[in-house]
This record gives sequence, C-alpha cells and structure tokens, in this order.
Amino acid sequence: MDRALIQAELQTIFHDVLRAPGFVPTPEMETGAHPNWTSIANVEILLSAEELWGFEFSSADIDGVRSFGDLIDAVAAKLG
Amino acid sequence: MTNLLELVRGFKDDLHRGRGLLDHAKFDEAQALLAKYDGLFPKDADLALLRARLAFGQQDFEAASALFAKVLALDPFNVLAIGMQAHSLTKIGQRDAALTLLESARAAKPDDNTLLEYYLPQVLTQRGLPEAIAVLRSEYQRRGSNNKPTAAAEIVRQKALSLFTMDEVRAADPDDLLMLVGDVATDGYNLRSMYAAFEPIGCNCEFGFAQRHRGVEPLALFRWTGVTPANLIRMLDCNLDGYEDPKIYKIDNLTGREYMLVESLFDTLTHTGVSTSDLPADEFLDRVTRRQGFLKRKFLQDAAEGKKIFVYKADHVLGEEEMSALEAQLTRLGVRRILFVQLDKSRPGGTFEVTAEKRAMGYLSQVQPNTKFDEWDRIVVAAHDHFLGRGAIG
Repeated sequence: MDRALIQAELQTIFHDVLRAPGFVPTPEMETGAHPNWTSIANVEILLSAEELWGFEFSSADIDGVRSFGDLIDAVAAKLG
Repeated sequence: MTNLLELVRGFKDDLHRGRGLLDHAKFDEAQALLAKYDGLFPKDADLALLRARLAFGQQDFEAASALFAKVLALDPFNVLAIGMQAHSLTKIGQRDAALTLLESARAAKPDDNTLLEYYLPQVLTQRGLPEAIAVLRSEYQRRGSNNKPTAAAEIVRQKALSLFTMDEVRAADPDDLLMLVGDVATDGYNLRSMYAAFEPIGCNCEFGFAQRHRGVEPLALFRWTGVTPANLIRMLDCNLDGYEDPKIYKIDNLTGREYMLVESLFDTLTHTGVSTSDLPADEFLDRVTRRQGFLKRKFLQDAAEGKKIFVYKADHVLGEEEMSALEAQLTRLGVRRILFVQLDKSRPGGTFEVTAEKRAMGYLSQVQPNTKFDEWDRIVVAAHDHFLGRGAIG
C-alpha cells in the first residue's frame, strides 16, 4: 500500500482514538504531542491498526514505534 | 434546635461522603447527593468545591470554571481550586487566564510547591521549555536547600521528555536542572535504548519511573502494576490465563486524581496514568481492559523470545526460594535474562553482580519514594553490558 494512503488511514485512527478531529500528526511527532496522546492511547492506536489491516504487530514492532513516522514504517513493513 | 443540629451534622457527613464519591469517580451518585443541598449553604466553600469538582469530573468545563470561580470568591487561596480552575480554563481555551490565575496565586504564596507543580506544566506548554526551565532555575536559586522544588522538576522532566527529543531538552537545560547529564553511555548505546531493553515484572512501579526518568516509555504489562510475589508466581504458572477477561476488572480512584485498575483474579493494582477528568469511568474501563489483552500478548511474546532482561525489584532482601520460584516460572515461559534488584543497605547502592547463568543481582541503597536514579543507571548499564553487550551470553 502506498505510504501516503497508510498515513491517511492512520491519521483517521488518531482522530478517532484521540478524539481530536483537527489534529494532524507529522512523522516526527511522538507520544505527548497531543494532550490525549498517551501510552494507553498508543495501545488503542496499534489495536485499531491491527483490526483495520488484519495483521498483528510483533513485540519488536511495538517496541520500535516511538513516533508517528515509526508507525507508518511499521504498517508499511507489515503490508509488504 | 435539634433539627438544625441534625441538619448540620448530616451536612458534614454528606460533604465527607461526597468527597469519597468524587474520588471514586461516582459522579451520578455524587450529583444525587449534592442535589439535596440545592439552594442551601450558599457561602460554604467546601460544598461549592464539591459542586465544581463534580462539573469537572463530568467534563462540563464551562460550568466547572464558573463554579471554581465561586469557590475562589469564598476561599481565594484554596490551592486545589486554583489548580483545577487553571485546568478548566485551559480546557475551554482561556489559556492566558489560567496562567494569570496561577501567577497571581504564586505571587501571594511563592513557596507553595503544589502551586508551582500546577504552574510549570502550563508555562511549558504555553511559553515553551526554555521559559519553564528559567522559572525552575529561579526557584532553585531563590529557595533554601530544605525546600527544593524537586517534585516540580520531575513534572517538567516528564512532560518535556514526552514533548521533545532528549537533545532538545538538554539544549534548553544547560544547567542540568532536569538531571539528564550522564545519559550517554559507552559502546554506542545510550541509556534510553538500554532502559528499553528491560521488562519490569514487579513489585511496584519504581523501575517504570526509572525508565521514564531516562525518557523511555515502553508498553509493558507490569510497568505500572503492583503484585505480590506469590500472586506473580501464580500468574506466570498459568500463563496469565484469564488476565484479559474484562469481568475481573473494576476501576477506582484511590488517589483522587487518577483512575486505578483493580483486578480480582490475581489481586493486582495498576496505575493507568489517566485523569478522572479525561473521560467517563465506564468508557475508560472498556478501553483499559482491551489494553490488558494486548499487553498480555506482548508480555508472553517478549518472554518467549528471550531477548529482554526481565527485572524483578523488591523492597527487601530476596530469599533464594523466592528467586528460584520466579526464575523457574520465567524460564518456563522462555525468559533467559533475569535481573533481581533489591533494597540492601549492607551493600553499596548501584552495584551489580552475576550470580548464575541467567541471573544477576542489583543492589539499591534506597527505594521509592526516595529513588536514587543514579543507582538504577549503574545497575542497568552493568546488566545491559553483561546480558546484551559485547561478549554477552547468547
């Protein structure tokens, strides 16, 4: 899948999970860049991505995600 | 007269009960209780504070702001009301008013640490990290050694590390008020990546805070969880079977600020880091139990892969029986690297020794609430070098 499409889908997930429809995450942003972007939100974001694309992140995938850009990379790698 | 006395006595009891209901996020019950006093005791600051807290808990921040203003008209230096009013004002977009309120209060009570703890995060998010550091520096210079604002510094450190990179924080903090110097270790690693290689399994949150202190926020099942050794062994023995079942969880607000997750199968208690004002209790419970299933899966996978160093920290000198039982269960799940860390005043804090092929020990001279992060750093570096560094066991 095209990286831009992944980014757009993830942005929708962020809007839903963070309840922040106007928030535009950029690749370098990390947890805390929005007040609702907490570690608990991170779990929900990862779960939502798993449900949307039908795969499971490995522990190493999860540990490697620190920023929004890392998450795009992790999804892109999963989708091949 | 009797009736009046009974009314007053009942009122005080209800205030106490109302505080408890709000602390436990039982907003509907609190609302019903406070409704009894609609139109009564208009000058009672305690009642006004409960009404304001109720509105805040129900996330009606416009109403909360108006009600906190009433509290402050009755009790101008109520620090809780000042702090929560600042939060309310921020939530409704009146950020300047929030800062002005806190600055006025601090002008009247310059040595109040709680006010400083409310003030600095506002400065950080509204005026930037350099300004927050400048305020902190000024406080350190102004105060004596008996009243250092260390808790406020910790709040700034946590918020700064969640918003900025380590390099950005260091650049803004040349005097190292946030105590970040020494982060870079040898062999091309830094402490942030070293701390991320560890998986905490008990007995409380101290290692989770040590990770946070070094700017790493890994997702881990037991990072903020308290569990007794016996229950931990029981959990591991059954591969955490049933730990994802939503029916075993309820939430509580024991601290008055944060939802706590109370679990009944293995009697664990977990910090959630989520404020009771952020979302309703029922919605939060749904979300957090979903999280437990995800983190359980990750925990078992980490154990099976055998790459991480599992850290068991105890506030007492560990016995061989306790360590062996834990090691047996962890090894059965696939863990190959175990670090036991104990409070032991008979040894120098921060020391480390290898005691078996898969086992190492670390020693602390102090534990929570007097955590010595430099001791944790030395133990983590030594354990990382031993288990994962050059020449480490496979």
